[in-house]
Amino acid sequence: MGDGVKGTVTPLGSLFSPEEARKAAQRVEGAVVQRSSELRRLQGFVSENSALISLVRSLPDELSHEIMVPFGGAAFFPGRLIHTNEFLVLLGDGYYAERTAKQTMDILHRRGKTMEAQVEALKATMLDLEAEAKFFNSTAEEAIEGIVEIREEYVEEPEKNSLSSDTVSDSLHSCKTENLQKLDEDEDEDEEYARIMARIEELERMEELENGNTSEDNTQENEDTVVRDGDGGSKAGDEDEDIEAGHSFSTLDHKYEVIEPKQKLKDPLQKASDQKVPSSFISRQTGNISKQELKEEAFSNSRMQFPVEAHSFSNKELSVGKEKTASSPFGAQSSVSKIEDSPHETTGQTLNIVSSGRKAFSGSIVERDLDPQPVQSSKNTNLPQSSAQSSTKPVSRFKMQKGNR
Amino acid sequence: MDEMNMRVRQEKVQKFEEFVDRRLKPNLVDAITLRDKVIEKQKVFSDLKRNIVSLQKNNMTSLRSMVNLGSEVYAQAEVPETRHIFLDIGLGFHVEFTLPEALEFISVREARLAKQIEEHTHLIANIKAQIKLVCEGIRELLQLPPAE
Repeated sequence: MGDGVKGTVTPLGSLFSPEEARKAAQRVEGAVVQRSSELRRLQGFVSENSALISLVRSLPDELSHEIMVPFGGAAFFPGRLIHTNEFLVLLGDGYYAERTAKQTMDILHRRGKTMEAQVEALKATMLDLEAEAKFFNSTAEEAIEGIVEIREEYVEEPEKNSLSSDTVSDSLHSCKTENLQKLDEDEDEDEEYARIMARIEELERMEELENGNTSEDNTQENEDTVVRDGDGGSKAGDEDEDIEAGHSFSTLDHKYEVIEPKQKLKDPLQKASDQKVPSSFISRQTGNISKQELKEEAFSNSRMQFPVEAHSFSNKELSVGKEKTASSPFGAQSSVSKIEDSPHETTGQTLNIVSSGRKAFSGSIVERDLDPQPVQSSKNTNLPQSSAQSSTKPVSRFKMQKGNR
Repeated sequence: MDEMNMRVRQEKVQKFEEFVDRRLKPNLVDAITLRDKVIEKQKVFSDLKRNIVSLQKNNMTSLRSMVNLGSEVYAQAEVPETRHIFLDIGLGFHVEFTLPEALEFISVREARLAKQIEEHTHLIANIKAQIKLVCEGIRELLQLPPAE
């Protein structure tokens, strides 16, 4: 733990007793069953309606049809259907309308549409209920496993290097209950994150060099340093922006994490200078996507304090998703949405990603391999755009994005 | 000793109550539902009979009616002659009758249905009696302890 950090440790089981959670899950499942029987009924209506439509369509083909005319409930008379183009339709509440076949078909068609809308709504409700039940079950399981919620006061660390990885992972835990993860997982993810961040840093530096924006970056760096609460390590405004952008993804306090890994990453980045391609690849994969989005999409600034990157990195599934979506300028955006899909992290705040107006940041997102790297076409599409953005100027980034779209 | 008796009694009372609630009452409900169904069928046939009689009386040889195509969409139908009528005799069969034959069949059918209803009524009465018996037993059990 950090020095003198006060905190509370609460076993999750005490907050949400597992039996109650299971009971809640069962109740919800009961509701689901109810809805599903209702759904079946509605679907029966829908199919009956469509059968009727086809019947009404075919009746006028003949002058009259030989049929068995029902007489009461248990008797039939042989007879004929006459006036085959005239139908009496019940409109409800005892009102009938005499319509032709075509008009009747229209009425039935409209009825069918209404019913289908009802079916869709019911299905959506069922999905929500199922998600709720799943959540209850997972809470019950977590409570049983003895997961512990640890809350700590946030103490700023003047020296990032002094933070141990344990602290980082602990701070990871200092978060809302939903973000409980196994301790081991987080630590592994942090290392992964650190590695990736290192590569990202390295790529950024390279870009900056190419852009010849070093001086600007330096100034921005200073600003960022201030912003970062004395975080000396920020290489460029980009990093900070990354951090800020990150928060859209996580509800965790990542400040610790972000600072830390960045520091660690600097060296690896330099070593990895020849691995531009893979690093951009990786960066694309994981949390970097958050950065990418920052650059590419000029979202409004969110004033959240917590950088999310670590969190986004930590989700391996994200990386896969991102990969695929990165191919378009909107890759970031879609990848963002993928992040959102991930159950752990996002609370769907893609749009809250901060993109401050700093050029350096936009231009130097790791993935952007500028022109020299035609290797990955997808990335290239991103890069030229970002570089274009960074070279032109203070047009609102958002507008630029719109243009790109 | 007394306390033990009390406890034993309580248990018995509970068992009786459970028996009533879980077995007898649902049985009663089921029997009543079955009987209602049979009564309905009987009603259908009696209506039919009335209609056939009126058909005969008014010498209606042809009919015009509305046929439900489903979902309350009606089409006009015409019966050119009402001499033959098809009656549902059960098991998915419909037999062609002339009107007087149909009337005869309906009366036979009605008699059978009445007998079925009678049987159901007996069953229901039986179940009701059982429930009453158990309730009395519970009451006895509960009243005795105070007497002691």
